[in-house]
Amino acid sequence: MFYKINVDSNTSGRISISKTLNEKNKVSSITEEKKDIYSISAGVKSEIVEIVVDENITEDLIIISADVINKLSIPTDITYKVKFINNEICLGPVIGLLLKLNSRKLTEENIESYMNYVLLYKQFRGLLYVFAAKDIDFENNTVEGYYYYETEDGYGAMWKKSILPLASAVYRRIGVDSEIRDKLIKLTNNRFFNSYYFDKLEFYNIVSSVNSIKDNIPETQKLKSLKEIDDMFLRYNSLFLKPVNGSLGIGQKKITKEDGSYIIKGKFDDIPLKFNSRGEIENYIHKLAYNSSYLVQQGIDCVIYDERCSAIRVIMQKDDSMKWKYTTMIPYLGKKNGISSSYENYGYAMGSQDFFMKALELNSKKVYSMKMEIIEVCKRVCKAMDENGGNFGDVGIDVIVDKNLKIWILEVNKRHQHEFPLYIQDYQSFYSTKNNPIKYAVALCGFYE
Amino acid sequence: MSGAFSVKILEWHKNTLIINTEKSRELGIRLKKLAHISFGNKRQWINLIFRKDISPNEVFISQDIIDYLLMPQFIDYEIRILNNEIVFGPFIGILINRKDSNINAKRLKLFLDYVNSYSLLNGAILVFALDKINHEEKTIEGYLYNDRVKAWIRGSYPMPCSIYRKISLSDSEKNYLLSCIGDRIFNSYYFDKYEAYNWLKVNKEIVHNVPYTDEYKSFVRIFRLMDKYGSVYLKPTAGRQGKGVIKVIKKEDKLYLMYREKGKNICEVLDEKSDIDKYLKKENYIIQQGIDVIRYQNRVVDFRVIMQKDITGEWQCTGIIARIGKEESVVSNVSSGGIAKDIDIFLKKYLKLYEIEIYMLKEKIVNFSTKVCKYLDEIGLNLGNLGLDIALDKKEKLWLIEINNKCPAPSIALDSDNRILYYRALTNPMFYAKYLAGFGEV
Repeated sequence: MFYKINVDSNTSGRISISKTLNEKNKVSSITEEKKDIYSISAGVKSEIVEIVVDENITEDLIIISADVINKLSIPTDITYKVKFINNEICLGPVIGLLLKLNSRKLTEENIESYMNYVLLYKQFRGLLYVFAAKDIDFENNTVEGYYYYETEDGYGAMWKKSILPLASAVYRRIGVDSEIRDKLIKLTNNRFFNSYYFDKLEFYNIVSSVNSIKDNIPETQKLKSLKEIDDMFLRYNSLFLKPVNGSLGIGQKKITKEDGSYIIKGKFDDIPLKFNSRGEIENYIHKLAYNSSYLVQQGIDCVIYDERCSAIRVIMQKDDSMKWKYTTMIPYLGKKNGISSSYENYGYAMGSQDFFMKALELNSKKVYSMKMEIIEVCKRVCKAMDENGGNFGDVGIDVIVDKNLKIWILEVNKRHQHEFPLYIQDYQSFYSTKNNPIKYAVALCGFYE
Repeated sequence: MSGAFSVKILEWHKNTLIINTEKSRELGIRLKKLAHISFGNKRQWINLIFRKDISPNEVFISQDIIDYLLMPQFIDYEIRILNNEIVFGPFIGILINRKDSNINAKRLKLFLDYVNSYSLLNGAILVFALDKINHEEKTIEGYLYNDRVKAWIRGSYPMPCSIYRKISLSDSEKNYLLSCIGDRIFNSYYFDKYEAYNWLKVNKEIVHNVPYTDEYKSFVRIFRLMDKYGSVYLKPTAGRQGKGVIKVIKKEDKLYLMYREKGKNICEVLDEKSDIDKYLKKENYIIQQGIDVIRYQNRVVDFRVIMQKDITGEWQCTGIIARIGKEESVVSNVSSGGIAKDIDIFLKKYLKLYEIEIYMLKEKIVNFSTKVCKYLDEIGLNLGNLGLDIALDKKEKLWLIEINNKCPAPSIALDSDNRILYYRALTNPMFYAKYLAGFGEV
């Protein structure tokens, strides 16, 4: 049942509910002699109110005094679900999508694209809004954002600008400074996801000791000098140097050894660099490690197809069950004869069935098993992240299947590209990707049946 | 995959189990000296020894215990600590026939598909027949899966911890199994169309999406319902695959009966003097409100929604397949000449819906189907594998036509050319069985 809100300017600090709503929730002792203390909440804001039962109002209506509405800062042209928890009436769900740093970027044009997040709005309704980090008012626990509004007939839809209460659950898609992040985690009581943007080394530390997945994680060390590289060459034939905080393969280099010389090839290099003397390579590594944080990682022999390195982007998300679910997987190929599969303009994505059958040469039975195994390994990675603390609900995991059909986890992207499925025109997976986190947010608020 | 143990024989000891020290910590049994171990319904007290020098993936058990528990060494075991018991499993039974003599090598080979993801399932998977349950010993002579050789090994084994059943059972048989292993057999109860309607009609959120259904008792009922609904269906209460379905419509004051017989569509006038009973078989029929469903090129369309429980014991939609009936056919079943298509393909290429509309319609169907399944859970059934037939009317409203619950065949996925969906639908129930056997996940 969805509830409409009418504003009453003639009263102060009062809520009127219907007889039916009262009976349903056993709101007790609404008599003149003795009134329990009640509060009404929306998002993180809450106000103490007096409750009155009005026999004349319809079941789906709640009347709230104007001053209470102002304090809660809620729009009254949308409908809400209502939950009674002890002596608190919760209006919801109240969900914030933290999509930009600056409100300048939340322009009229951009905002249309956010419609992809509200495809399932009719299922849960309530207050769903888009906002920028700079528009949070931590003193009043309000946010200036754009909330989603649908007309009664369902045909008209728009984003309306307003001052809104800080949400019960916040889904973020951008980096913010740690102060804002920590405040949001605290205020939402950890219903802020994805909460931490850990780097590649931190990720390695989280998963390398988890028994169920450590064998699927390439060995990784912080690059301080040639020493780490030499140590790892004792175990592996090729290594990768990666910026700890990089993305899209920028700054990545593959390093191999040939007759005592070190050969380094960057992502965009057609010709590798060869270092014959120890001094030269030491210098190079020293410069690299000095200028930015680098790590050295065990090289994986990925399956080569069409003369390109292959990898798979697996999108794992939580939905209304609040459990990790597999959304989709998209194999992708890198630059021809390049060092990795991160492709930008050089490579392309493929349908998973096509990839498994052609590149991995599996029959349909084996394609099914392989997919199941990949999903299982990804689920274990997600659970390891959960156990480490924080709140995660929407990740894109880069997986490599090597020549022995072994599964390797390269990286977990916390701000992954939702458009990835569109590279193979998979609109259904794209819409699922956009909306699963919304389902998760609604469940986090406690408003999923 | 990691996490599985092999069992090795421990020489020179009795009543003893030796496990790697680190593993014992992981399992939370580091402080135990004495415990009981179980495999299926067999249990024994044992002494525990922890050693650092044995492989973390091996467990050594003395011969006497292995013999008593009938533990094969070719299984990859998982271990769970449940109620202070060291459980080796999961031990899943697949009850495929009433008589063991009906199980031949060819049939067994088909069941290899069920254990396609054995590396994720692990444990003992036992294919068996009802008549090979040894009631005195409480053991079963059946076929246990050996992943090392990819074959079924006949032998005498304990009773499993959960059963995925593919045959009908009498009440006494169900009660016997219940006493042996508890409420861990699914689907626990096979229900027909009329029972389903009686349960669903009291649920306010679902009733308006279920066609009115009643027991067919006489001709008179047809008239009454025709007046109200415009068209009516007569269906065998326990019917399957669209067999025996008759649609009754009114055209220019005359009643017509439409049905399929021997691959042909028949349409006959019914007058008052006709004996409608001559069209009906000797079984119970229901009479059901006719729905004006959307059609494709004048062919009936509905959706088979495969709903199955997963390793966490929760419902998920494995897939949705659109079924298009043969022209002028009253049913859409593939076995009655219909065709099947993946829902995405059907909605896009045939009905020409936009991708957003497809997404939203699918969500609507899954939402509704999940609601129905959860409601059936609440009634007290233990269900894990259902096929819901859902139709859409011309006002885009969803209608629940039928709930297929007697082992709905995943072969419909093959009909729609989706082999991966077929394997998923075939193997998902094994993961629910793993959950029921006490080896689920959160």
